[in-house]
Amino acid sequence: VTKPKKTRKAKKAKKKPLKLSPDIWIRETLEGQQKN
Amino acid sequence: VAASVEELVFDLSLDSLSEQRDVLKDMRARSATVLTASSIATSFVGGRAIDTVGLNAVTGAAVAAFFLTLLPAIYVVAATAEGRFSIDGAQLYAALAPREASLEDAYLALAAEIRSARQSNRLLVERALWSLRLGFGALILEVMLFLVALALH
Repeated sequence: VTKPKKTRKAKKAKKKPLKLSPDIWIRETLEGQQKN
Repeated sequence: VAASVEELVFDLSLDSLSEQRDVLKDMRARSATVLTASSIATSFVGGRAIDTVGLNAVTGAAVAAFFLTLLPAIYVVAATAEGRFSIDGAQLYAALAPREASLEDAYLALAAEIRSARQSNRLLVERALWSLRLGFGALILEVMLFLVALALH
């Protein structure tokens, strides 16, 4: 009787965290004026 | 209610950033309050004290304290430091669209970005709070000195 082959569980591929550019932010002075 | 863990993380991060922004908004309002209170105190108590006693060490110190009360308002207007409190939607789309990121990935990336923004905003908020504390302290000192000058007369 042949033993059933052990199957390896597929490892979950680690996703690289998404890195966003600082350009997405709207900069704001203390006075409240927005700059982009 | 958040539909996923990622959304929950993003919502909580966004809340913390909004709270930080609210602190700055309060700061602006309070610096105007200090300015108003200081002007009223100087024109009523200060004017009377200087009329009665003249310009001596006590009233001179009170006048110096009055100038310090202007500090928070000047700081709010003149500070060049910038904070990050809101996200430009178009820029965000331009960053996310080419990578074909899923909504969950976007939530997590934004949560990380918000955390870093909150940390970099901290110095701005702390400086503003210190200027306000100094302004309030100077206001109390100013009023007390003018009252002492009147009482000693």
